[in-house]
Amino acid sequence: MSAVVAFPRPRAASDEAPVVEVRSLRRRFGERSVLDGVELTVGAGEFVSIIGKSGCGKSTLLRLVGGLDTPSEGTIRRDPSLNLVFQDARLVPWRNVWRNVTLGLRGEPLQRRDGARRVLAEVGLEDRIDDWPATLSGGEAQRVSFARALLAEPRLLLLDEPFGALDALTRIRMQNLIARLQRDHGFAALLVTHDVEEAILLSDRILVTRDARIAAEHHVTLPRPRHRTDPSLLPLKQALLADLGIADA
Amino acid sequence: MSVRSDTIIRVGVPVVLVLAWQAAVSSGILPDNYASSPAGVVEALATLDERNLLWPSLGTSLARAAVGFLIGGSLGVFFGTLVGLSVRAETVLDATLQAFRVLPHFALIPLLLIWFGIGEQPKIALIALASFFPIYINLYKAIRGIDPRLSELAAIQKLDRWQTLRDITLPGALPGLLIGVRFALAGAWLSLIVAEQFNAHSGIGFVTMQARLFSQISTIVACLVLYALVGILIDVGVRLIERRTIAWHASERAR
Ligand SMILES: Nc1ncnc2c1ncn2[C@@H]1O[C@H](COP(=O)(O)OP(=O)(O)O)[C@@H](O)[C@H]1O
Ligand SMILES: [Mg+2]
Repeated sequence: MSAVVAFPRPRAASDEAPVVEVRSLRRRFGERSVLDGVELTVGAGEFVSIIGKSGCGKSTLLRLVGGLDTPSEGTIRRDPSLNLVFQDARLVPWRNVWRNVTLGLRGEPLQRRDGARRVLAEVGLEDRIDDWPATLSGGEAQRVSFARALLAEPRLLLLDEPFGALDALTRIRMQNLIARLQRDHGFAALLVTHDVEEAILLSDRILVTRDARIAAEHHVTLPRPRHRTDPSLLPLKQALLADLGIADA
Repeated sequence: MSVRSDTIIRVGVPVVLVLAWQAAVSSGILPDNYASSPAGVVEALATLDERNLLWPSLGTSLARAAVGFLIGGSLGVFFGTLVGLSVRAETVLDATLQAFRVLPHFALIPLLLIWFGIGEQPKIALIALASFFPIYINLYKAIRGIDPRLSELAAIQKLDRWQTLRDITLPGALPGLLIGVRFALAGAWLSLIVAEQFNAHSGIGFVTMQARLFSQISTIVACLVLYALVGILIDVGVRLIERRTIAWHASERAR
């Protein structure tokens, strides 16, 4: 891996190819099809959110795209530079922060530590570079895992409810952070969430999953930066809640 | 309770016991020719040293334990890693090894004596056996017990086999391995004591046997004290290693 010193790259024409192409995807567990006939394309630099009820196969879809699981039927094409951020920060408890960030990276320790320092600075954790994971708060641990995911400059970031385990305030700060990181690095993102507001704030496109497939699609055309108090978010919020089968009385 | 008063109690209890023992013997409550006395033990140790028996015997016994432990421990690490990492190796080996384990290894002494004669070999073999199983079992279980979610992480970070072993599997299994090492060392030391009871020509066991022939209670108790002290030192040593090698573990527990 040569990406020890990696700056946002200029967009070349070849960079514009989709980073994910899923065709006729089916995933069965025993008799039950958790995903059935999923079609999904994510363009370069595009931020796509997936929302849906708990247990409707969102994590399964993300694991399939990430290559952690194999489809029962159908095909998945993905950019090989992808990385995945789990809901738990999933730091290796016996490696300190910078060694977690550079996990899997080859090269001189000093050079790797410098690389870690650079991405840690981006998530505001430069001063925790030598600490043990167990000494971090939930939000800090998740920021370290973002730093780890970003280190090799992936063109696609898969995010499985990355803020799900955090308190409401930390969550807001993390949403702002991911918006900033995406603006700076230009990666495409596939975010699983069940927070409608989060999806609207961050996404170019929102997909709603239901009955094992993608049931609805919304393009979000609101200008950025978006503010959670902006009343123009409301119509989309209502539409999404309706898609999710939640009557907003 | 404060750490300081804790320490005082920890050190105080044995000191009081030793003083009571001495007082009981000095006052004649405890017959001297039955239980010796702390002063008698110190004297016996000094005599052993004068006869140039103390350090050489201790050295011989320690060397025996060390060789047996190293042989049994290395085999334990090898098979523990192999069976921990490979399901096929587990299928082939684990049931057989576990079957051996249920047999108390002291039961093998007669066989070992027939196979190896009465020299150093049966002693070393017994110590090696006692060291093997704790390390094998604990390492194998520790490798299997590593959080499977970390394997997913390894896949996402594109770790190769060697990196996975170095960054995930082995450090994750280290606390388990060290528990195994502690049990193995305790087992090795116990087996040494047993092994030296039959036919030793050197070592602490030999000194004990001689003392028994001449009913030198003080020397026998002095040897017990030596066995105990070495046992304690070994345990302290392993704890120190634990603290140094798994600093992350301490911070994990402090949560
Ligand atoms: N490895 C598995 N074996 C059997 N069933 C599974 C497995 N993984 C997920 N499932 C089932 O698939 C369904 C979708 O799970 P998941 O993708 O985790 O849902 P979510 O949308 O909440 O992320 C659930 O009913 C779950 O029980
Ligand atoms: Mg899920």
